[in-house]
Amino acid sequence: MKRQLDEQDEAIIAVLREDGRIAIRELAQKVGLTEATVRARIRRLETSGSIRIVAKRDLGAMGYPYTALVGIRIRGRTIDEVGQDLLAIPEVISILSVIGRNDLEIQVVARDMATLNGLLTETILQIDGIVGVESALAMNIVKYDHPWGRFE
Amino acid sequence: MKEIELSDLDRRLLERLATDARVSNREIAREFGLTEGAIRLRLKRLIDEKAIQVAAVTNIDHVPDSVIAYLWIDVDATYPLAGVLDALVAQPEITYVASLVGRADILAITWVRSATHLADYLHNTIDPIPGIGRIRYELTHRMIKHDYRLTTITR
Repeated sequence: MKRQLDEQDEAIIAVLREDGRIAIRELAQKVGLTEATVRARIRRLETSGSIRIVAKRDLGAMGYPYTALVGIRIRGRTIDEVGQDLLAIPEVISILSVIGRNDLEIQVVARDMATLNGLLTETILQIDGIVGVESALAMNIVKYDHPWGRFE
Repeated sequence: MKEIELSDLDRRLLERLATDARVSNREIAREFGLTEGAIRLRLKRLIDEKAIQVAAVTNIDHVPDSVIAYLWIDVDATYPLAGVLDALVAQPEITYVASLVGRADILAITWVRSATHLADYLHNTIDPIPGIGRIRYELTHRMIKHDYRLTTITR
């Protein structure tokens, strides 16, 4: 169920975005609430589905140093149909439908340049309905803090 | 960043954190039959080496009126790219910044309340950054997939 977050929730979430494993005592001091209140609020935020505290893995450390940012134009099929085909490709880590000259913006990661090239010039182009792609290669990712997600 | 080989214990730790990232070191130690110190040391190593990060993620379906915008930014050739990147990284509303080859010089991803808010934000905050040339933007209409368990640790 959706619930409105108040200022105290926002303060707790802000600290947990920086360090998800911070001790309750330290978190309570930072936000000026009691430990019991902080513990109860975190539990409520999690059970209501407002937040998840997760371990995130670094793409480079996982052996995926290459990222391409690919805009896709679609004709003759729905965005969802093409989206479903893209979901089947594990290296596609993000799929957003956008308003603009492209229909989808996707992020593709790869272990090496040859694999990335194969994904961009063969695998993705073979999907029915994709009539245009434009790709950029990320040279240096200097911020990657996406604080949101869609919980399945 | 170089690939980091994970030990079997590292893998088990990651699996355990995937279920509940706030589980205490003591509890993990009890489950694995190891000492609390051993668990603390492994986790510290993984975090110090920037292999993992534990952080809160907000459910986008619970955030009213949120729009994700992709900003494709070209930088004036007379300005150093690094200065523009630093200025964008410093913006709290911007969650992703990368320098690129192809499409534009920089991609910045930002989270705004509405298209109107974006127009104000671009005009008042981003346009005045020295070196910013042309900005093209795309508004996100729907998130079909976004793997929030992956990141690039920059801090």
